[in-house]
Amino acid sequence: MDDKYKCTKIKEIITHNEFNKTFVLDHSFDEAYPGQFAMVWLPGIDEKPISFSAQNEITIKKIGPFTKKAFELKEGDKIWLRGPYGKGYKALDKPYYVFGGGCGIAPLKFFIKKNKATIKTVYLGCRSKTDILFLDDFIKLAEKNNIELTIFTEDGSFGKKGMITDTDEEFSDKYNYAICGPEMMIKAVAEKINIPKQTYVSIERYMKCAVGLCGECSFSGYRVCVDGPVFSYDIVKKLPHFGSKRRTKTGELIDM
Amino acid sequence: MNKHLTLNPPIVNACGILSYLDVFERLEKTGANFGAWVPKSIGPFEKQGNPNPTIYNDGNVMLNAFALPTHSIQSWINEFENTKLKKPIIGSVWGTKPEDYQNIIKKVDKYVEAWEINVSCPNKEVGEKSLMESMTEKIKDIITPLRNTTQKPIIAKLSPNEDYITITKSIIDHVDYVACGNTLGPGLAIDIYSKKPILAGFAGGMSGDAIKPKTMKMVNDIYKIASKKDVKIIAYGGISKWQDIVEYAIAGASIFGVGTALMHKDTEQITEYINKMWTSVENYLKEENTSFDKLVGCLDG
Ligand SMILES: Cc1cc2nc3c(=O)[nH]c(=O)nc-3n(C[C@H](O)[C@H](O)[C@H](O)COP(=O)(O)OP(=O)(O)OC[C@H]3O[C@@H](n4cnc5c(N)ncnc54)[C@H](O)[C@@H]3O)c2cc1C
Ligand SMILES: Cc1cc2nc3c(=O)[nH]c(=O)nc-3n(C[C@H](O)[C@H](O)[C@H](O)COP(=O)(O)O)c2cc1C
Ligand code: FES
Repeated sequence: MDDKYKCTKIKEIITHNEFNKTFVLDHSFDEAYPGQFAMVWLPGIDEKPISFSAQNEITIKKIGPFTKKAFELKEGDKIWLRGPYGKGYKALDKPYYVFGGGCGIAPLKFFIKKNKATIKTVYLGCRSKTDILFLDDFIKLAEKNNIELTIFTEDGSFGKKGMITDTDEEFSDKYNYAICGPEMMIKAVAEKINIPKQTYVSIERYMKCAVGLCGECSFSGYRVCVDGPVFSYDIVKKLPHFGSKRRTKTGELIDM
Repeated sequence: MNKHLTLNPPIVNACGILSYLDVFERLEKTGANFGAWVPKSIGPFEKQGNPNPTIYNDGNVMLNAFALPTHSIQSWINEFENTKLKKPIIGSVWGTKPEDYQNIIKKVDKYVEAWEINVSCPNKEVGEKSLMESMTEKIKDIITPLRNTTQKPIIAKLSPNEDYITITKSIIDHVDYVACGNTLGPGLAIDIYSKKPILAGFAGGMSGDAIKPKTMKMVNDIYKIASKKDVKIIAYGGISKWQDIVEYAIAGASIFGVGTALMHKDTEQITEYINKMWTSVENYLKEENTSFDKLVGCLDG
């Protein structure tokens, strides 16, 4: 198997807010499933892991040099991707509860669209209404497919005011749980659910090769690019690096 | 008397592959039966290496231009202090002058069972002075003093790109092993839509199946010199199936490193793959009614 780039064009750009854009691509990565990622290359700039938010779509949050450059791209521009890589969200043996926070909402949109019939409830948590990516899509998906949708905003500008963990729902082992978002949010939500064997979470670490060779993305010895990025919380909760350590570009293990 | 390792099985990860002690620990826990572990080369100063893309795999050959990312010796020592690894560690070291190698070895010596002296990485960061190109003259000065620095077995990891026969002759009395070899090249991969080199480091060392015939020849050439001096050979280069190990053994190698072939494999897949590889070699030995020791260097022709 090779790892050649697919050079494709940007068909459409959706600007969600100042910090989040979705790039709709000409090419559809038909093999890609939710939770998987691509290595996105901007020649002469850099290459970084970005999750699929649909088979022909990636959603990027502007946080540093690479993502800033990506934000300068226009419709019709070329973009290079290799992948899909990694293990995504597990096949569905039970209906799912889905929890998304911040940029983690994007891959979950892909997950929900692909598995509409087996999603019971979606929880989204954001700072403010403008941070809720794909809000209209979520509302429509929920209405059409009888999915319960609960949204928390920290400033109360939409849905319930508070954190995603403020829900008073009791969680049962009749369901599976998918969580995507910042590591601290994952921890808080997964602990609240407290059914680790049926909870799947997505982990991010700095990546170089993305094919399991270099070890750079090690997360307590699991290589996130091939063993993850989606892991069972039953594994994750026992790992000393969870919520605590990551490797830098030199390979040094530092506190997060 | 030269010092040799007893590895069970005689299979290691190639340096720069898997790289960190926590990854090795995870594989040990999963039951992966490597005979020893080779962490990423330790160098004299911290560097990030090249930006991405750092690898390119076109399906025929792998190119990498990591250019030796290195974290501090102290943070390596922290990792060594805390490791629960059961199998021995073979330290890998790189530098730009003999003192670099000696300093690192002195500081880290107690954590490793042997030293692999990396004098053969073909990669460099863009704008960086070549780290190891044309090392030919320097290698002897780097290797020779190391017997006074460490009592551990010394492995010289040489490049297939240089005059390795001359180099081997110049160091053969000062080493226990020669490792053949580092990546080939470097080579260049071009993207036709941006008209740019794919690797951020411009060129990258080549590895994988495609380089095997070159390293096979290198192993056999060096075996002819080394076997007279009780120096053994470690083979690195395109080992992906048990037959490759047998071929390298026939050519003269007695330890085998697997690198690029571990691509795309998760922890469980590596475990299954490696464990099967050595049992298959043992089956071959039984079928051929021979022993591993008899196999090493038995090339008839
Ligand atoms: C599997 C996977 C999927 C991803 N999916 C997406 C996605 O869909 N959309 C998206 O926008 N991003 C995604 N990311 C994250 C994205 O790859 C990084 O944010 C990328 O580093 C941004 O590059 P940059 O040059 O803009 O910023 P950088 O300079 O790399 O980072 C900016 C700042 O963030 C810090 N930082 C970088 N990575 C981490 C980390 N892992 N943990 C803590 N701090 C960190 C840096 O130290 C720096 O201060 C994903 C990452 C992984 C591993
Ligand atoms: C991604 C990558 C990183 C490497 N890093 C190092 C390194 O730090 N030190 C070293 O001595 N060799 C390094 N090498 C070379 C390998 O150890 C090995 O010699 C070479 O890849 C040939 O073996 P293979 O074909 O099985 O991969 C690296 C190779 C690859 C592919
Ligand atoms: S990024 Fe290289 S092993 Fe995951």
